[in-house]
Amino acid sequence: MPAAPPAPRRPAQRRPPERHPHERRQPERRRPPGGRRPNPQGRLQFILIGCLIVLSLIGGRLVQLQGLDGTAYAKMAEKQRLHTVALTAPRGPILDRDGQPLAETVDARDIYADPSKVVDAAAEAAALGPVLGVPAAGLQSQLEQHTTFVYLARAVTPALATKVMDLKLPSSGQGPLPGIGVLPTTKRIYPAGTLASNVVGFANADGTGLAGLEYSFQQQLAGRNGKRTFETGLSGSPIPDGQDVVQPAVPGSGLQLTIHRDIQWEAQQALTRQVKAVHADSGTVIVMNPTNGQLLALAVAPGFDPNDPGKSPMSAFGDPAVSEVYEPGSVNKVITMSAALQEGIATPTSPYVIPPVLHYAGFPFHDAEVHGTEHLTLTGILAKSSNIGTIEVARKLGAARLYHYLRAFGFGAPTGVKLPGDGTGILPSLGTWTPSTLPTVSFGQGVGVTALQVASVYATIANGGVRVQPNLIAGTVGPNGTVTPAPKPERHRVISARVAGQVRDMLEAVTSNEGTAPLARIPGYRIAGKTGTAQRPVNGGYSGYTSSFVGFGPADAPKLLVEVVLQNPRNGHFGGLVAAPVFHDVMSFALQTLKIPPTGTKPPRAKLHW
Amino acid sequence: MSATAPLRPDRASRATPRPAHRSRPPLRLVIGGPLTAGRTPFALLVGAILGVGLVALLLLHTLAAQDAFQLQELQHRSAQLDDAEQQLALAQQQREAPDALAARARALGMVPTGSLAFVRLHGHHGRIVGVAKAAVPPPAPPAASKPVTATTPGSAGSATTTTTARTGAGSTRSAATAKPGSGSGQQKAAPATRRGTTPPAR
Repeated sequence: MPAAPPAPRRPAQRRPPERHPHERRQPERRRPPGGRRPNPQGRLQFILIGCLIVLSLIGGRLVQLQGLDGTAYAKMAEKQRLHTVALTAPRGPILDRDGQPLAETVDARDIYADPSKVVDAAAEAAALGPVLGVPAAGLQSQLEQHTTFVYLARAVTPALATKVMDLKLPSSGQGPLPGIGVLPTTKRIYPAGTLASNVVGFANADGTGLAGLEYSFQQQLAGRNGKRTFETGLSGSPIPDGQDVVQPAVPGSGLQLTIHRDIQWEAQQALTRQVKAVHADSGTVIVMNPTNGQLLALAVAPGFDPNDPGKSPMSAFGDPAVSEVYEPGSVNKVITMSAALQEGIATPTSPYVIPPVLHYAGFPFHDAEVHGTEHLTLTGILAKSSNIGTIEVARKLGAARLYHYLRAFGFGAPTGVKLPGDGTGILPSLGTWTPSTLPTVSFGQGVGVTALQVASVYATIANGGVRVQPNLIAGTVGPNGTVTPAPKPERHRVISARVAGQVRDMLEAVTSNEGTAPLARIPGYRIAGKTGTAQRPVNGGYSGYTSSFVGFGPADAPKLLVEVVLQNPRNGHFGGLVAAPVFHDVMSFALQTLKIPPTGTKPPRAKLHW
Repeated sequence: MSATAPLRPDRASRATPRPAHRSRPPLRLVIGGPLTAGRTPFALLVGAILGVGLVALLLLHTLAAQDAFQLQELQHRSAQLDDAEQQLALAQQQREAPDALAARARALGMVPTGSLAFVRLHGHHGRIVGVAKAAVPPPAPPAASKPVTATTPGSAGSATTTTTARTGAGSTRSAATAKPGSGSGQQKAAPATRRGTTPPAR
C-alpha cells in the first residue's frame, strides 16, 4: 500500500533525472503492447482534468452551500437546534394590609391534544374524561377534529396535569396517551374568594385585568414578558457551552391595600344578611379610618366570585361604592349644618320654629313624620332630621355658600381612589340652580353622590375638619417583596376644628333615644352618625328609597367610620331601622378587631328643644 | 544523552590528557542506532499526551453533558417541589381565609362576642371601660344545647372554658396583634372580655 502511490509520483516529480538512465524507460515502453496508449502524460492529464472537474463540482457546491444559500441553511440548522421559550412575567400580587394575598399568580398547566397524533379517540377520551371532570363525549369530538392543536383543559393544577400524563391506553398499556400534551402556564387565583372581590376585580386567562384594581393597575401588575433562546440536543436538553440568550422577564409589581380582611369579611357578611332581610336591590358598606383616609373595608352586595366570574352578570363586576350615584338624602344635612356653623349663621343651640309644612319657591315641603309646630334647636333639627328646619338654615346660608361647602367636602369630584368608575356624582353647577334647588339640595335630594363621597364628608368632620383623600393603596410590592409606601394622601381643611367638634356633638344626639338612630349605639362607646332616607330617582321620577347610615366612633376621638347604604329596601326603609343595625354590627366588630378602647367619657347633654 | 554514553568508558580508560581529535571516528559509528532508539519513547510520550488529552477532553465533555442532564433533572424536580409548595401554601391560605376560620369557629360552638371591655392600668387604678357581657349564643341548632353551662353554678373550670370559646372568631384572631394603649398616651388598655375577670355589665 504505501509503496504504490510513490511509484507514479516519482516519475512525474523527478522527470529530468530519470530521462538519463535508459534502462528504466525500456520497461515502460514495453507495456503499451497490452493495448493501452503509451502516453503517461496524457493519462495524467486526463486524471488531472477528471480530478479538477470533480473538485470544481465540489467547490462549486461548496460555494453554493456556503456562499449563496449559506445563510438560509445556517438558519435552518440553527432553527433545529435553537429553542425559544417565553419567560412569562409573573403578575404582581394584591395583598391586604397585613400582607395576606387577595389575588396571586400560581403555576398551572394547560392540557392540549394534537388530534392528528391521537391513536384511539374514543379510548383516550374515556380515560381523560374522569380525570378532567368533563364528559367523555365532548372530549372525543375534540380529539376527532381535523387540526393539530386543541386545548382540552386550561390552567389546571400541576398535580392534575401529572395525573393526565400518567394515563395509559387500556388496549396497549402504553403511556402517556398519544397526542396529549401539557404546557406550562400561570393562573390568577383569589385565595379569599369573594372577599373584597369588588375592589380586587379579576383578570382573565391571558393575564389581562378586566375589573377592579386588576383592571386599573393592569400595566403595573402585568410586568413585561421575556424570552430565552438556547441550543438543544436531540433529547431537548440544552447543549453545554451552546448559545444561550436570555432576555429576562420584568416581573409585575404588586399592590398592598389598606383593606383589613377580617373587617371586610364582617362587612360583607352583615351587609349580605341585611340586603336579604330587607329585600334590598343592593348595598354598600364602607369602613374607613378618618384620620388617614385609609379604607379598611369596601363591601358591596351582591358581589361575585373572582375565581369564577363567568357565573355572574357583567353588572356585578363594578364597585358600586365608587360608581353608583344616588341621592344621599338626610346624610347631606350635615354639610348644611357645618356650613351654617362655620359661617357663623347659627350655633348648635340656635332656636328654630318648625311648621308642619313649609312653602318654599312655590313647593310645599314636609318632614318624614307628620308633626305640629315644633321648637327645635339646630342640634334638634339634625337629630330629628327635619327637612323643614334644614331648609330654614339653608335659606339663611344662600346657594353660593352651600355650593362652596358641597365642593369643599368633595362633592362633584372623583374621590381619587384608583378604582375603575370612580364617579364624580351629579352636582349641578351653581349657574344652573333654580330657586327649588337650594332647599332640596340642603337635605340631600336633587344631588347625586357616591357612597365614598358621603363617607369622606363624615370622615372630614370626624378628623377635626381636615379632609384626607380616601385611599385604598398602601403601597406597591416589588418583585422581592419589599413594599414601597404610597405617597401620603392629600389633605386640606374644610371647616375649623371647633366647628367640627360642634357637629360631632350634634351627630351624637342622632344616636340618642330622641334621635333617629338609637339602634346604631354600641354599649360602652360614644357613637355619632346620621341617618339618610332618600327617594330613589328612577327614570325621571322617584320610586323606592335609599336608606343609609353613616357614623363614627368613639365620637370624641374618632378612630373608625362606617357607612351603610341600602338601595331600594322593600321591608322597611328608614335609615335608622334598616341601615343602622348593619352599622352596629360592623362597627362593633371593627372596634373589637382593632382593639379600640372606649374613651370612657360621658356624652354632652344635647339640647334638642327650646 | 544516549550518544555520549558509549564514550565514557573510552574517556575513562585513556585518562585525561588526550584532546578532541582522537574522539572523531567513534562519533561517526554511533549515529544510527541510538538516535532512532531515542525517538520511540518520545513519540510514545507525545502519543500518550495526545491520548490522555483526548480522553480527558472526552471525559470533560461527557461530564458536562452529564451535568446538563442532571441539571435538567434537578430543575424538573425543583419545579415539581415548587408546585407542591405552591399547592400547600394555597391550601393553607384558603384555610386561613376569614370565611373558613369563621365556619370552623362556628363548628366548634363559638359565637361572636357582643361587646368588649378594657382595663385601664395607668392612673386609673384598674378602671374598666366598655361593657363586658356574655356572648349570646345564636338560635342556630348546634350551639343551642350548650349555652347554659356558662351561667349555671357549675364547676368553675367548665364555666371558664365555655365563655372563652364564645369570644368569637374575630377577637380570637386579633388578640395576637393587640396593641395595648393604642388609644391614648397615658392609658393602657387591655382586652378583658372573659366573664371571669370582669364585673357584670354596667
